[in-house]
Amino acid sequence: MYPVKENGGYSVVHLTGEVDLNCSPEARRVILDCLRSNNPLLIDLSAVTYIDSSGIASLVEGYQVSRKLNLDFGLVGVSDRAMSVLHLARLDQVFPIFASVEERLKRDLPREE
Amino acid sequence: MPDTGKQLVDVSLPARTGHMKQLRRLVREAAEQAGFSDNDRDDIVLAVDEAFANIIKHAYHFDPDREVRLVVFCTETAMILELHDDAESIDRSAVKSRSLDDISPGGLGVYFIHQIMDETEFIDCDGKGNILRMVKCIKERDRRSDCTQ
Repeated sequence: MYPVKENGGYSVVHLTGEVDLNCSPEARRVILDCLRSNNPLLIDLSAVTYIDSSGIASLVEGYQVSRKLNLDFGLVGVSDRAMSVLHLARLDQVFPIFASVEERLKRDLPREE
Repeated sequence: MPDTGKQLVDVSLPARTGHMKQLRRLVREAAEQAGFSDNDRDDIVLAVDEAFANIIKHAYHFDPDREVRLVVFCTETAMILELHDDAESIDRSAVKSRSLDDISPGGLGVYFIHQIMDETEFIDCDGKGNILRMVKCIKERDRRSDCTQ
């Protein structure tokens, strides 16, 4: 179970450990549940030690749903390993990426507020 | 018969997502033995993990009673990794890597395999299964003389 915390108007999903085909269905569920609740979303990847294409697919789907719902979305604290995989997929140029939740909050407020 | 060098791994694993961690550990240890750098090891583990996941999903349709055999060899210049399944022959035209212009949730696994590995080959075992053979060359600075026959 991936924890979700509220911070500055955002839901922050904390993905942890190895996000592979075994765990990515749960990651997807948590991400989509937050968006269905109409919350702007940040996904914290600082504790991700491994992520495969199924985990990346969960992030892509979340991003697409957030755009349809006009909800703010971003990745924060991306670990080196997760960044390496995002870079391999060239998705580091697609996702909004921030060093931390605080850095995101400094930029501006979520769209809903 | 090509020189396949020294055998590092030959193990059959249940085709279950709960065994992916074990697969990754075996591949990482073999890549370390072969002399690959940390970054290359991470990439090789990702590629083999994606191939294993594709067999679970597309060849075995999540049947938990099937197995995948992992065989790893190492020569002085390359590591050869094979995944053997006993599924029906693969329709190779259906194994597609996605375009990176297409931002969609699926199709990345095959793209990763092709990006990371220097060679990939599907071998049809006359209706008795498939072998995916992947070759990763070892950079000259990382080569070790003990990884030969």
